Amino acid sequence: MTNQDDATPNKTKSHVINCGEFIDITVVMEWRNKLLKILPVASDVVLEASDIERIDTTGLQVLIAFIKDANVKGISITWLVPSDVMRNAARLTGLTDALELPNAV
Amino acid sequence: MTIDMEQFKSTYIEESHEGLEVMESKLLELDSGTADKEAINSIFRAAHSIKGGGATFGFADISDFTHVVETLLDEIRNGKRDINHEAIVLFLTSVDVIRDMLTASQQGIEIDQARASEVKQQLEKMLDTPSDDTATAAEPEDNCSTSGWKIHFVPFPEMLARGNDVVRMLRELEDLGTLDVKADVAKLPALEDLNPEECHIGWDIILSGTATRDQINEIFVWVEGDCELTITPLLDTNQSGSVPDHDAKPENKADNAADVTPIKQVLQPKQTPLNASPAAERRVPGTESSSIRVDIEKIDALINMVGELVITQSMLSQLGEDFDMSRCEKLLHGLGQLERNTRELQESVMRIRMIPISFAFNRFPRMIHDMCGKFGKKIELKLTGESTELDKTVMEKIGDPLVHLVRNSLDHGIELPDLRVAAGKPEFGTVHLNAYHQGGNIVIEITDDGAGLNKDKIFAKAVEKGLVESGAVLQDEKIYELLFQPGFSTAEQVTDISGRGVGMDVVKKNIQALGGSVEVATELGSWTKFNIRLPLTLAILDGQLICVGKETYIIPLISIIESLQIDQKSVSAIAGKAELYKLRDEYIPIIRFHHVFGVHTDTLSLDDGLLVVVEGNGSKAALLVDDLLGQQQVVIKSLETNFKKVDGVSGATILGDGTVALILDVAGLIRVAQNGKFQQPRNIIENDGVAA
Repeated sequence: MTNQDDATPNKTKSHVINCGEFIDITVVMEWRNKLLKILPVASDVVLEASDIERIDTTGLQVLIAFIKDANVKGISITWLVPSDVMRNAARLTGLTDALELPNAV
Repeated sequence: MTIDMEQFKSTYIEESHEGLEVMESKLLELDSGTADKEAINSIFRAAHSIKGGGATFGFADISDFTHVVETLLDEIRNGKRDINHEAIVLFLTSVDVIRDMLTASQQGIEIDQARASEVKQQLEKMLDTPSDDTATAAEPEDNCSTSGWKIHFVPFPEMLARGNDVVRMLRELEDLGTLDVKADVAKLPALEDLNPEECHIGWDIILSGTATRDQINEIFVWVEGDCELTITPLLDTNQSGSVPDHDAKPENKADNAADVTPIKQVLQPKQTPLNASPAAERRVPGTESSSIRVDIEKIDALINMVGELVITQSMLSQLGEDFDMSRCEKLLHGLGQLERNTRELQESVMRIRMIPISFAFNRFPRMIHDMCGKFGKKIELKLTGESTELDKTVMEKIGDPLVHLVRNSLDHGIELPDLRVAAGKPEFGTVHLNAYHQGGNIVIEITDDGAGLNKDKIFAKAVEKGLVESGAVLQDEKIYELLFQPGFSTAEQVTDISGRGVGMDVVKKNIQALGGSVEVATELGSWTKFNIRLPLTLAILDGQLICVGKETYIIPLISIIESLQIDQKSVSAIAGKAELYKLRDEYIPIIRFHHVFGVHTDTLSLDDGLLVVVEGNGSKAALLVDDLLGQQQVVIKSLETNFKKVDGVSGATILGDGTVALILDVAGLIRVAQNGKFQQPRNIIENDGVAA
């Protein structure tokens, strides 16, 4: 998992999260902990998902939980060039809306 | 990262053998009419796992063959095809083929492709045969005109952690038609409360197209029991039935939930309570395996024992640090405790190798099924004491002798139904296998209520073969023991099961090689019982310590008939310097132990020593030894592993004083003595007063 930012007390900072090449059950706990740290400090988050080559149900689920919590806290979420793999996984599972992914490719 | 699949192959083969056993026992239950519809599901699941694993681990032959079996089973479990005796026999043959394939793969030998191909063709021919109309009518749902399927799928939280992935499943589902997927994320907890390896999302899926229920079931079969699943057909608009309800409001979901059934119930529409047959839990020993599954309780017991040992060791070392004679009693108490701990630890370790006799018994239902079909006999198999445990090695070695004895009961013992009825017996004969522990041994009984043994016939045959003189008077037991002579058979007809007279001597020899014994009892016209007695383990034996010169040897107690002081009048010498001892009515060759093993001893005269009369492989001998020391249990160490094979010696052990003592192989020792292949010790002056 690569992430351009680390948890920072600066609430106004825009966070760019590089989703890396895969988010699956082998790393999902690390992702949950990482995203948890971002929630209290971010004002807006950019999910950079162009490199994702593999994502499973747990990966989708942890991102949805993050986005739901972000919405509650008023944090804006923006996807940056989500990969076809990412889009396709979301479409197949009917989670495109929950992930707030743009419909157009 | 690459995963080395080799490490999983042996596990796959082992588990597949277990799967085959489930298939076999359930097929036999189906054939006997004692199974319910769940049996066919169990058979299908086993075949499915074997097929899937075969493909994963590179056993393409096994996977391809099992695929056809699975397809046929799938049609049966979905009610599209009836299962009949013919199909069961074909499935049982398929089980044999798969088992042979697994064994060949395990041993790295060529698979019998001709046989596999022949059976596969028979399976394919059956598949090509149109399904039975009646059976088809049983599942109208699958055959009415459907435009697709509505699938309600809610994984249980742990489903994902078991290696299942909804993304992959839906991708496979999409291959069957057009998908419309609605996910329900309402139950997804906040990130802080989320265990991300658990699943908290549910799905309602509309699959449009011509997919069959079987194809959908195929995708969900791996998550059986790990989810709620309902699959309902979308009927054409002119038919009544379920209609997709994507617009159902969340509050309606609670009502819908009442219809949600766990996958097991959906995939098994005709489910009735399981016939709780213990046979399903048994395993068939396919080949001798190098691994063993150990009950976790046995491991826990072992850990407890080690814990106790550590405590005792710590107590003793504390005592040793500050020891004086006033604490002698405490030391003795500690040593006693150490002895107890060691003994218990030894017993616990030995228990790890113990497995239930059901491993050996489990092959017989199939054998009897096949034999009955072949010879028109009606036989009921009764198994008792299946949980009686014995050492894994003994178990593996007793399998073949047991098969031979049971075959004998089936072939010579149990009569044809009309003969039984004419004799006032029930039409069904019974073969009863029973096992129990008795005095440190396991006893296995094979009893049949067949024709019994005709002692006059056996005696006449023995006379004909020159085994006994015609005028000899033998006790009944001695006559029955003649059955175990090589080449002995009284069967009027030689069948392919038994009757060639080859085998009973081998049975006895194999059992004796395990340190066991076999006896037969019978009543003409009523029953025959073979009684096998075996040691629980081959790792420990009860031995008699003997002394020759400065050396100590161990004779297995089971080989000793008696020990006696020598009466010179009973000793006679024959040509070739052989000496015989007359013991009651028998002449027994004397083996001067020190000659065979080249040991220096001062006991050269027969008067000074003792004779130990032993028996091995049906031959008796009297061993001249210096003295008898005592009897004790000894732990057997392999001589072959630690040194090399020595004729006449089966192993070695370490005695309490740290010296090594050789354990005698009595049969081998007699053979060595008879062949004279030993070196006489040098500087021995023979001084025997041998009576002529």
